Amino acid sequence: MFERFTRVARSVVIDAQEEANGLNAKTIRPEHLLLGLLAGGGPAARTLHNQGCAESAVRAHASGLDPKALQSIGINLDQVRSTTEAAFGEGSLDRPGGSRPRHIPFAKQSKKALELALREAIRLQQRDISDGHILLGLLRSEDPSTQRLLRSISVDPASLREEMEESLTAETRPQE
Amino acid sequence: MSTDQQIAVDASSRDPSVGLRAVRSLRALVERLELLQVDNARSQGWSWQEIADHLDVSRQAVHKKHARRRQE
Repeated sequence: MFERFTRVARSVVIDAQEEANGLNAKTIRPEHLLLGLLAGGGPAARTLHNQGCAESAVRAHASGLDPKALQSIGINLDQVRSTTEAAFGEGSLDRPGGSRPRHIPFAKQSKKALELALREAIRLQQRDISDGHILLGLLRSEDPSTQRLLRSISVDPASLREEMEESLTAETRPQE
Repeated sequence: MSTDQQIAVDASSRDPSVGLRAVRSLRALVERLELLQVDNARSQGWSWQEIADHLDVSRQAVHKKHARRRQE
């Protein structure tokens, strides 16, 4: 199915894998796809930014390391990061498992989101699967953890979907 | 602690969403520090048993958690 992905959509998937790797995750989860979408710089990234979905907030959620929450109990994450990096090298706290690329499988929810991306492209009568379709697929899957993540960073899934779909249908005329 | 920090703590100490997020973040931080420290100990030639003793867990537990990741 990847042969129908646009160049940006492919880079989203590759970035998601790298994110999962860096966060030492066992599978590529929807939040890694979200980070890939934000890094992709395409229409989906623009829509996410418009809807107030900031990369730092998604990253804090995906990595489980929330600097503000740690500050509330008196732990300064920047300080921990710099002392750790002084001992173990730059980026050691954020890539603790080393940066050896491992092949990580897609989580069930991510697979479903990518399958639904194809469905969304078909529904909108569009030939290629773009990053926008991946975002729509992610929202369509209604994965509870993704919904929780969006809620926790005050992003409304419904209006996100609406804006993404508008932007996708404005850019292309339906193909006969 | 600075005044700003004190205000943050006072404001959040009873808010479950902040407190629970702090717990979750602390857990994530511990996980990362464990990876770094275990890798460091192994690269300095420590045995799994020595590492397990310092972490106060069984040798099996520490081996199961880290050996495959380190491809040992």
